[in-house]
Amino acid sequence: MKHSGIHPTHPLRHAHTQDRLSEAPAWLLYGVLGAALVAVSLWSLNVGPTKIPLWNAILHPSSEGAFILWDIRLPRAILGLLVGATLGLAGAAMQGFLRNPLAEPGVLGVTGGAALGAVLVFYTGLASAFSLALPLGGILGAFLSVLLLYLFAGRLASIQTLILAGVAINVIAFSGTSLVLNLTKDPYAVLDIVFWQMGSLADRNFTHVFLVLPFILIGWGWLLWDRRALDALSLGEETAASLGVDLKTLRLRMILGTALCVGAAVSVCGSIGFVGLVVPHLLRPFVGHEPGKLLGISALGGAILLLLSDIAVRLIPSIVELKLGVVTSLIGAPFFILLIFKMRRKLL
Amino acid sequence: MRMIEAQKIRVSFDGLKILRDVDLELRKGEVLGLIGPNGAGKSTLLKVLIGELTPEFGNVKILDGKKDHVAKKVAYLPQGQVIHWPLSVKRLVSLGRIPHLMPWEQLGPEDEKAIAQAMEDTDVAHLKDRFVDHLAGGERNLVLLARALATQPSVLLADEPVQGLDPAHGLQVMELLSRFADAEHGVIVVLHDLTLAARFCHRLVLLHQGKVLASGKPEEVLAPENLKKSYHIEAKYGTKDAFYIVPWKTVQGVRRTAYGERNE
Amino acid sequence: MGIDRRKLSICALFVVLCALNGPVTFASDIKQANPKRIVSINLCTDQLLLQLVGPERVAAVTKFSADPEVSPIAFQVKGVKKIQGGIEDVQACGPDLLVGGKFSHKETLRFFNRSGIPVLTFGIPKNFEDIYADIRKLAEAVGAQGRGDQLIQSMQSDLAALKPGPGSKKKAFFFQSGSLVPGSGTFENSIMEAAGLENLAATIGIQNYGSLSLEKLIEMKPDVLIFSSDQKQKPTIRGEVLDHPAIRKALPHVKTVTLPSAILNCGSSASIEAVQILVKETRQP
Repeated sequence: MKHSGIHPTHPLRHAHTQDRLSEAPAWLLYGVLGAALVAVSLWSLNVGPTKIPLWNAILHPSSEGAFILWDIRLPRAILGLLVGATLGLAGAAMQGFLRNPLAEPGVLGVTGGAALGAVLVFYTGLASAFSLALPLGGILGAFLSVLLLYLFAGRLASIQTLILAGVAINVIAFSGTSLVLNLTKDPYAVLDIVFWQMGSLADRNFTHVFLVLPFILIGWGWLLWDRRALDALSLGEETAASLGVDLKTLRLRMILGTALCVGAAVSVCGSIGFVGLVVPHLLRPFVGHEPGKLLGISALGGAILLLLSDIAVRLIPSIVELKLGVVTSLIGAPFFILLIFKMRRKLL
Repeated sequence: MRMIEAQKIRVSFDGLKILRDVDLELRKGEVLGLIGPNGAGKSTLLKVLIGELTPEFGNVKILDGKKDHVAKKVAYLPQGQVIHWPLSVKRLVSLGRIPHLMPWEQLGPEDEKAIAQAMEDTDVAHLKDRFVDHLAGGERNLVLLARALATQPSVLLADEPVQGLDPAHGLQVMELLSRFADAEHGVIVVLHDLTLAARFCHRLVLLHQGKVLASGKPEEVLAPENLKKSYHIEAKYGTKDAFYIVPWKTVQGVRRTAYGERNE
Repeated sequence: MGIDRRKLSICALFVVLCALNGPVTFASDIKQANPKRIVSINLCTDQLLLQLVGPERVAAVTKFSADPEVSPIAFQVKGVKKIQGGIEDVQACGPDLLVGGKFSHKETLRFFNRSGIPVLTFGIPKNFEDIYADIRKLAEAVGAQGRGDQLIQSMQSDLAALKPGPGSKKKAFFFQSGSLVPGSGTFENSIMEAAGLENLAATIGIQNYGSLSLEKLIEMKPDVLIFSSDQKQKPTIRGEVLDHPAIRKALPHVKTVTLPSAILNCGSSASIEAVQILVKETRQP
């Protein structure tokens, strides 16, 4: 028999009995997820339109398959890991900070804003002149989106406010991106919109990896630094402050951290959504719903999910290449609808 | 020895004077009750003391004043605490250890000990794997109190910790606070229940319209003229075994004051 | 016994529909062999036209024809009116012949088809024979058959001169944005064959345009890689694969040839230049 919940703002009212069974010690979680990540990464290196004997390619660096492995598949796998981990981590961080399980960089417009920033820099030729301009453009776009979002919905906004803010930012970003591509001199540039709206890891190379690596790592650092602060926020801002959390610098690190890693990631891979929604949600019971503990394993989970999606993109035979963002949306959108459905009593 | 000293605190919101020249001090080993009618400014005063609200005038000194030290040594239990995630009791109580941990540190044996002790003191150890949102009001408040105690603070500031609790749980909480305020600790507790206030507090501060109307021993502060002026009530008193008070009836011609008074 | 009323009404309906559709003109029907106000609303037909007639007979061409980046006749169309290609634009020029491409400005072409003005549409040529056919068709319509034949002959002799000798052909891919390669039945294929190259895309069975993964490209070890200048130089995401470092690393000895996009956009006599460049770059003595 369940007691009626006491406090009215608690968002998820599902039965927790299963949750208790799934709580696991940190070493086990990291161990299992880490092993899964290694396995999926190796699988990713093995998938492709040509068959290469993996061992052979590693041992003989100038053999046929070696270039394919090292220069095509490896950067793709590394980027998949970096971007997936970023999306998982940023999703968990946003949910912890906004105290809302529906928060996610895609849903709330951060990836859209990042795409717009990157598109502006790319098609005006700035990125060709100065390669760092590309991730910086994405970061600036993401920064403005997150800023808008937190200004608009930061102080414990209701779900409606949050989602509406996200919709607004996404609409602006989408229109802006379409406009830039429409106005570009090259008439075929407009075809690139598929990349910016749906994302892809295809044919990425090490230049892309090195371009975004420092920004992503710094962003991760800032987000992970606030693990405990996010835990403290479970009790609300007042109590968190009394526990020593500096709310102002926390907000700054959240905004900048998210902007840096998501902005850079989107600038080289396009918009990929829903990873930051699905992964933290699935993993939350394993850490007893503690938001700070969720950060690290969401990063691992996000990397695994994105790599698996990228493998699916290459394995599923289709006439036109399936886009990565489409696969994550196929998983994520129904998930999102299910979550809203579960929370509808609160929404009413 | 004074653990908290506040002098001439002044706070206004939108022209409304919430607190006017309030002085307050908390001495070691005492339970200080902060009482007064709704809107007198009690919660606001507590927020000023914890550092969450900056007064426009006046100063507050808590312990030695260093900020991160304060987080470790002062625990705050706000009114109507919201819990955003369905945490287990043990996890919630362990949140109290946050001021003592660096971002990369895990809970150590010291921390586990403090958590276990806090849960034992509040008698919620048997609930440690239950989910907080499944608990009834009384147990929930005890868990939140355990969280505050897990910090191992020197000072505890509690804003209406017995609100909505049945008599048993209410007494349990107040007894706990009394035990806590021994030689090395102090408690400031905001209360509406005058009976409990009289029973468990060493000293009382009565706020009325943002000003300190009376402060001192419960017998003095809860004198009839004070009650009439601030609460507009009459009470019955007893001295059998100990001093006790029971609010009895409202006084005729009660004016319900709104939140403070505009510009004097 | 009498006229079956149903058959009669069907016939009547048929006649009415034909009348509504207006006259369908064929090149051979054109009474005026000497149109003086020709309007072209397609970049490729612009080029075709200006190789057969002087600009004084051209009332208007497309805006693109003046852009040297996409049009090899930019200089020739100086002074000729430039239009977008909509119905009103064309109407304003008072054309006596309208020339366009099958796949663009269909509304304009349909509209003028119903008027009395002769309309000629051209498809996309898949090889040089198609180009010759197009030249003949337009030459006849504008009364420049002699010029047309001259043009065809000169193209044919140029191509003959470029024919390769005996010996193994070099293997090539024409690598395009979005990892596309033109296979058999494309104009690019004809250019490559005319230059004596083996189009690997056709060899592996790709018809028209197909996608070729970077991995497969490397695996097949082409001798020559052909690019279109626009795609290689203008920044697009779909074009990034053309510069992938793996190509340089895995195929360090591959010969890359970048053809100017302007001569590739349309199959025309300018396309001979593409064959010439390919031969020059790939056929080392």
